[in-house]
Amino acid sequence: MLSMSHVSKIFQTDLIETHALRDFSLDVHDGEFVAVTGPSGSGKTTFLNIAGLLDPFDSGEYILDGVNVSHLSDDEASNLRNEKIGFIFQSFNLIPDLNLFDNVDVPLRYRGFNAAERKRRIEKALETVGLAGRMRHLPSQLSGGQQQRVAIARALAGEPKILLADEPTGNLDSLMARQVLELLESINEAGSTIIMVTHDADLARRARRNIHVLDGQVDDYTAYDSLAVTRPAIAQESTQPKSASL
Amino acid sequence: MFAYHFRLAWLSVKKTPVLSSLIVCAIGLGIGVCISILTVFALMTSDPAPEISAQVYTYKLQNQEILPGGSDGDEPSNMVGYRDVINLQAFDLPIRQSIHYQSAAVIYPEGSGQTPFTDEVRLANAGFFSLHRVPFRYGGHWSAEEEARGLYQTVLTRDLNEKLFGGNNSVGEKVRIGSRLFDVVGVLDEFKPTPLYFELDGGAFREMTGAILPFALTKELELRKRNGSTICSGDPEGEGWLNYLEADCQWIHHWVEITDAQGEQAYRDHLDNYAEAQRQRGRFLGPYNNEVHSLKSWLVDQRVVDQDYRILLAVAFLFLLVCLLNCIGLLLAKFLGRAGEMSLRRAVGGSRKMIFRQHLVEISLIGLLGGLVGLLLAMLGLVAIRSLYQNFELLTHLNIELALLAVLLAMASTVLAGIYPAWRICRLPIALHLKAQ
Repeated sequence: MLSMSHVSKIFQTDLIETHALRDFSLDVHDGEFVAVTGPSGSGKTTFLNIAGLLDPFDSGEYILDGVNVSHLSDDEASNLRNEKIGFIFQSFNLIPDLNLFDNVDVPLRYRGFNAAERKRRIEKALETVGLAGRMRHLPSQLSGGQQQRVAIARALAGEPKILLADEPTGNLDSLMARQVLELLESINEAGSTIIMVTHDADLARRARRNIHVLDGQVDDYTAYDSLAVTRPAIAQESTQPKSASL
Repeated sequence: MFAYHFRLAWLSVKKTPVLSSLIVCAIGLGIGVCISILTVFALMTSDPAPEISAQVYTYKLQNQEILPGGSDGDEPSNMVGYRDVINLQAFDLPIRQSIHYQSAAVIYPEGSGQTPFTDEVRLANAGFFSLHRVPFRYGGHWSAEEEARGLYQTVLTRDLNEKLFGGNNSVGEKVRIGSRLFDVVGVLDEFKPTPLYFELDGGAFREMTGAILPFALTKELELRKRNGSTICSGDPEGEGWLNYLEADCQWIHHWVEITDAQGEQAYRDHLDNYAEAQRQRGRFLGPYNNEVHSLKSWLVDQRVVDQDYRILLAVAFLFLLVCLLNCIGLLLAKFLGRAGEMSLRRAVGGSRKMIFRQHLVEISLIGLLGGLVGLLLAMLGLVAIRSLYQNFELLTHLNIELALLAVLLAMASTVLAGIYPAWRICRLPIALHLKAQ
C-alpha cells in the first residue's frame, strides 16, 4: 500500500538546515493499522505530510498504491490524494460555515460525483460515525468528539485506500478519545489501512504495529501478531455502538 | 462546479461583511468616477448622426482677402459668406445641400395670454431637413419650390410647439415671429444630435430650440446671426443689410450629401475652381488650402472634445487603478484569512486550479457587486455634474451600453486585481496551515 525508501526531507532557512527525515524507509501493507510514535520534532508529522502528499520530499522514493509519486504534477497529486487518502487531523479542520453535510461533501465535490452519488456517500459516512441525524448542524453546534467524527466521516466518504490520522485524539478528553479510537479500529477491521501519528503510548499500543521515529529515522518496530490477543485496553468501560453520541 | 463555487463565494462575502464591503466600495467608487466621466466623454465623442455620418460633408474655404505676405496665411474659414454660399450651392453634384444659420427673434403667442418672448430662430433651406434627417412629429417642411416663392412658413421645434400650442398638432396655425405672421407647416419630433455637429459655433452640446424659417427669406427678414460667430475680413461697403450680405463675412453653415469618393473629389474640385474664379476677380487671395471634411473629421478638426476632458478621463482611470491597488491588499487579507480552509480543501483533493477557480468566482461576484455600487455612484455623479454644469444636460445620461460597460469593467478590473491574491492562496504550503488551524 505504502512504500517509502530512503526518503529525506530537509527544511532550510538562511541560518539553519533541519533534517526532518533522513534515509527514512517504511512499508505499510493493505489493511494495516500502524501507529507512529516519537518525541516532538522527531519527524513523525513530516512523515505523515509526505505520506499524504501534502509536502514534497527531497530524495528517495515513495510508492503509494503502486504509483510512484516522486514526480507528480499538482493535478495528479491532488487526484491521488482525493481518491486514495483520507485525512484526520488533531484540530478536526472542519469548515465552520458549512454544515456537516457540506463538510463531508468537500472531497466528493473535487471527485466530480453527481449529486445523487454524493448524497448517498455523505449519508452513509455520517451514519457510520453516528451523526446521520445532525447533517444540517454546523460544526460549532457539536462537541469536540462529534466534530472529530465528522472529520472521520469526511475522510471515509471518498472510500480511500488509506487513512492518515495526525494525533486524532489530541484535542479530546479520554472518553471521547477512546470512542474515536474504537471508531478507527472498526474502520480498520472493515479493511482500511490506517496510519496514526500519536504521542500517546497507550493509544499506540492499540495499533497492530508501532513505529518509533527518532531524529527523522525509524528507530524501532513493535508488531502485534494477533489483534484480538495483543491489543491492550485503554479504558475499563465497554465500547459503545458506532452510532452512539459522544 | 460553478454553482458550488458561487455558493461558497456568497458565504465568504457574508462571513466577512466589513472587509467585503470595503472592497466593493473601493471598486464601486473607482467605477463610479470612471463611468460618470466616461459617460460625458462618450457622448461628446459619439457619432451624432450614425445613419448619415459617412456621406455628409462640409468644408473650409480659404477666402482670405489679403495676400499672406510671406506667411502661410490664416486657416481657411469654417463658415461661408452669403454670396459665396448662394454661388456654391449652384452645383448639382450633391444629393442634398443644407444651408442655415442661427438667429433670434421675438415670438408673439396668439391668444394664449403669454407675453412675447425671444427665442432661437434658424433660417434654413429645405435641404436642411432632408440632409440631416430631421424627424417630424406633425406635418413636414417646405419644399424648395415653396421656399423659392418666398412663402412665410415655419417649422416649430418640439419645445416651442409645447410652449405655444401645448404640444398639440399646430400645423395650419399661425405664429407671429418678429413683425410677420408665419404658417406652421411642421413640428419637429425629438431631435438632439450630440454634438450639434452642423452648428458648432453656438456651442456643441446644446439643443435646437425655437422656430425654423426658410433661408430664402434671409434678405427680407434681415435677421442677423445670433448665438454663434461671424467672421468678417473687412467692413461692409456701405450701410444696410444688403451690403452686409455682400460683404466678406462668414457666418453660414453649408453641408452637402455626397455618396462616394469620386463625388467627394469632384466637390473638392468644385471648391477649388470657385476659389480660383474668385481669385481672378481679386478675392480669395490666400493660399490654396481649401478643405473638405466628413462629419467625423469635422468634429476632430473643430476640437469638439477639449484636451482637458481627455486628461480628466485619464485621471479618472488612474483613480480606478488606485482603487484596484487597494483592492489587491484587501483581497489578499481576505483570502489569506482563510488559508486554513484552503489548505484543507487542497488536502482533500482540491487542485491549485480548482482553488484558483473558486477564488475567481468570488472575485467576479465582488466585482459584480462593485459594479452595481459603481453604477449607482455614476448616476449620482452625473446628477452632480448636471447640477454643476447645466450646459452638460445632454451629456449626462447613462445609457444601457455604458451601464453594462460599468458592470463588465468592474468585474474585469476586479478579476485583474484579484489574480495575485488568488494565485497566492493557491501556492500556500498545505501542511503548514493545516497544522496551524
